[in-house]
Amino acid sequence: MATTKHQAQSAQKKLEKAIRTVKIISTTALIIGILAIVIAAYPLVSGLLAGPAPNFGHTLAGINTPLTPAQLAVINNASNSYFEQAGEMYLNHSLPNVGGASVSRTNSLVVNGKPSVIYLGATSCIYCGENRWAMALALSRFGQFGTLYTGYSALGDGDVPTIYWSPALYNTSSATTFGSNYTSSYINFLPIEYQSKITLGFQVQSIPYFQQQAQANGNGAYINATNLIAQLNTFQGTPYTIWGRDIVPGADAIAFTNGNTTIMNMTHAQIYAQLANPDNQFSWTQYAGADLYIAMVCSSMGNTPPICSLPAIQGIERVSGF
Amino acid sequence: MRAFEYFKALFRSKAAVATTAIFSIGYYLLIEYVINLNATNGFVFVTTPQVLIYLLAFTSAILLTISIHSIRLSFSKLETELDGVASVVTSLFGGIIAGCNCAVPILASIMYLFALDAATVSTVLSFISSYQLELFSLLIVLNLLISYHHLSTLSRTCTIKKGRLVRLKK
Repeated sequence: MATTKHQAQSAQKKLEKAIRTVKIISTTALIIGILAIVIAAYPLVSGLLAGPAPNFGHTLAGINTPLTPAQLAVINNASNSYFEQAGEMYLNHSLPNVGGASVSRTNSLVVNGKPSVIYLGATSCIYCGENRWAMALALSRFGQFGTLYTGYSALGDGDVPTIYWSPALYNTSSATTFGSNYTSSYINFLPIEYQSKITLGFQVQSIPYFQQQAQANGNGAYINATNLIAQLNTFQGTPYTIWGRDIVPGADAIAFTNGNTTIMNMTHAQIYAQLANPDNQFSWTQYAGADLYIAMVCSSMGNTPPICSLPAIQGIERVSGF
Repeated sequence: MRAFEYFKALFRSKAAVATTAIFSIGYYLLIEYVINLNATNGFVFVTTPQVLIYLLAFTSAILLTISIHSIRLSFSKLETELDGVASVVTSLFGGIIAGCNCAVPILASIMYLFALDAATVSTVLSFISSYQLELFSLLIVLNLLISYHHLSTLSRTCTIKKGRLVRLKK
């Protein structure tokens, strides 16, 4: 009797063990199955989510075309009165989207006896695209651009009309360009731009990648610039700029609208027209963003360049603690 | 498909449906809030498809609903609490990933706090920028898998009677 009971219990235990094993196997198989379906269906689903393919060539009209003398003059020959007025507007808080980035301080990277403006960005990045306008305006107060190029952020990242420092390698899967056609007796401008397929979205590489690229490029200024960025531990993404002593981890002003339309819907011609005759939120914000950069450079070099004597620039230096 | 039967039984309850709806809205607001924290000067440009953001909020809400309702059905409170935490974490990460457009200021601040360096931060940013859509989808799948696992384990502590989940006596 006892033996029969023991046998029954033993069989019961075996059965329970077998059921548990089957459950574990079936659960595992189900999870693997779900994962397999997800992986298999992913290209189809992501294709549907991404929507129709962008009309490449239409929205990238004139890409890499050098700016005409008239277009370049809008940047190089902008009136100081625009910088003054925008600076005053910033100081009296009538421009809401200026000065959001948290600025910190380092030692200037001095090359050939001049402090440097370092820029790390990506052609695909929407914020870099928008920020280059303010950067170009600021840099034009310390020197001259010989050439700039018509550009856009990536189609998958807003397709913002912008300018490039040098021709973009917009069909490459991964590359870096260094330098620009900029001359100044006050500062060095060291732009480092990550290049990727413009038909995709935002892409960027790691700091060690840029250090390797700078080493391969062999220019000591860029090697030092990338090493400095690596040491500072303030990088959060692009655009990342250093203006003399001041580190700006992001765009210093966001001019994405003129009150009526967004920058994504503007043409280059409209942007040049607005910068040539500033009369709206977009253009004043770009000039005010430039003012902040100018104030940083001025404070880094003892306010020696003539632009530093503008009352608005001195006011910004005072208020911002540059 | 025992888990599916438990799912059906659980969501027969109007309370479960209502809590899922409320949590969906809550999680959506949480994701949007985290995305906005990444915004530069108030401007937000999100490249993650809106449908994926809704899906993440919804799957997180389902997971939290299952967790909360199974507290009264399960003998392991720890497990249910962990699943609830998981639903919050996937939403937070979803917000961070969706908000990653050119920069990851929140994630970078956290990483620097833990003594990580610019090389690591930039590597993470590079990875997220390359696999943003995949990572976001993975969070949704993760929510579904945890939900499935949780529903499967409910069979240890409860059964279905008259179409509703009833806790087994110990």
